Amino acid sequence: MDILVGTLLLASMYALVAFAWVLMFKTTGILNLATGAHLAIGAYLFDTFATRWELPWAITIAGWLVSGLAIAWVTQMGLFRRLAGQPEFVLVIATLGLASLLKGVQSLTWGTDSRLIREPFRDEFYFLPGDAVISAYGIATIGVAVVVFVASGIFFSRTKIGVEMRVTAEHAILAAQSGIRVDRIYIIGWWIAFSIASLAGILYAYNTALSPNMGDALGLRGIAPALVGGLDSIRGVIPGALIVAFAEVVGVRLLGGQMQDVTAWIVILAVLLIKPNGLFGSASVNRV
Amino acid sequence: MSHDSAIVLQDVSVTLGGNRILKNVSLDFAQGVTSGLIGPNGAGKTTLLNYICGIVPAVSGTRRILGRDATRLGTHDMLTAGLARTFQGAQFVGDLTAVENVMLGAHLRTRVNILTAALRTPAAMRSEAEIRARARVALERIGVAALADRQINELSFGDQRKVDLARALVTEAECILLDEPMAGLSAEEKDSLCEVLRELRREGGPTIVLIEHDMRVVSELCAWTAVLDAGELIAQGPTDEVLSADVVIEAYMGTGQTA
Repeated sequence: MDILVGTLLLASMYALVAFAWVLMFKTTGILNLATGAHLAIGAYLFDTFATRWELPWAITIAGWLVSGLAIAWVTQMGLFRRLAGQPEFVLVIATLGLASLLKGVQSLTWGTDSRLIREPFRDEFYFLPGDAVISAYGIATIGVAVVVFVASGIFFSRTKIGVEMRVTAEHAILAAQSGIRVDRIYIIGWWIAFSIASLAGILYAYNTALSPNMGDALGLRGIAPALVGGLDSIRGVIPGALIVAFAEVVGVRLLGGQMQDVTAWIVILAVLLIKPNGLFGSASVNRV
Repeated sequence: MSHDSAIVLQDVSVTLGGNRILKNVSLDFAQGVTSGLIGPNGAGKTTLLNYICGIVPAVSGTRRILGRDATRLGTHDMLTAGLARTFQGAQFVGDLTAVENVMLGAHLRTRVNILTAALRTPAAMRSEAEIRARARVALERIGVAALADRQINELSFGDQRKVDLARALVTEAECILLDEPMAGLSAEEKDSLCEVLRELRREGGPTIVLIEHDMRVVSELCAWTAVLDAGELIAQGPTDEVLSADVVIEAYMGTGQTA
């Protein structure tokens, strides 16, 4: 039972991070190496609004979303628009540069200490049958992940912008020809990916603490479920996250805490050896 | 002159990767007729189409679409300007069905946001149903209504072409540009597509500009034809005159070899 709870909690966070990776890969066709930096910056921005300035929660959330949009806008119009038409390799390296830039901004602005975020409600622990414990924030984390996935399911399959994003991902010129403003779609893509990655960071901070290196720790860990599920498969994110989280929880249980990273990568290697495109990926992913 | 012209190009020069692809091309495609754009491979036909659609920028020159200056418009503005196109080789979104690909052409008219979609409001459902119905009509017009719900990447190349054309039609654009619609089709498929295009013309459908290699198709469909060779416009006029002009024959045969 506690394995189940641990898996669900970890999988919720992994699924969000993996979703950010997959979303960027699907909408722009590049592996966004700044996903981890997004995760950390977003969480720190949220912390600034919530803890340092003690703004009301609605304004905190609005401020976090607006600053995410600003970052997305600058990223697309200031950087990636100018790189349009460059080989993929250049774009991926650009995301690496973006990651270092954001990390620099992060450590200059917020330093290198871990800290706690102001809590919207008191954390409590609930005891479940089979010696399992779950905290209120653990429940909230799982709930948020479920809401995000249901909402994005509706968003991508039924809304105008969602369909525009899918079309742009597959065929940018055809999309533009159909009257879709491709730049705007890319900005929205960056924005959603940023928001979802940093949501994972915020939830992680509530479950443990806001720490300066969580961008690397959680951000890079999130690519494991994305690879297992298939980098171009939104559908593959949840099973991928569950598999990786389960392997980690069991691996830690059997082999100790230092095995956490190792088990994740063993799962990735195993899946990639059997199905190189991930469990749900399509054969056309040949780029990374 | 300009109010009955669908597309007017003036002194258009395009450079790509340091190569001059188009050299001072001035062209006038009339409204309400089917015009051809021909020329040997590498003459710059597709580049010209891409310039008209705002995909490729020009070094110099202007373009007017349906009487309005379109020089500064971007690709996503073309549809509102009244222009739709198909692509060389069928282009589509592979994980959608045929009818959904056609709906893409009309998607600017949809009004579905996350709230109305989640709540399945009557307005959102109506908007989608209406566009789906129009897409089906367009498929029927092209003669592939039976394939509407098939996944598009399962269709034959010829059928994908037709779906591409239906996507251009459903936009109700006043002018559509077709980039080699017949390439890779069998003789029967060519005949049936020719018939569809002729039918469109008879019904007073959109102005059509057509890039084509098959001269039989060009002389059958196009009242007017322009010829590009090595980036320069070497002839334009009524199709039968253009096709028998010496410069055109020379461009296709190569100079010196015909003597």
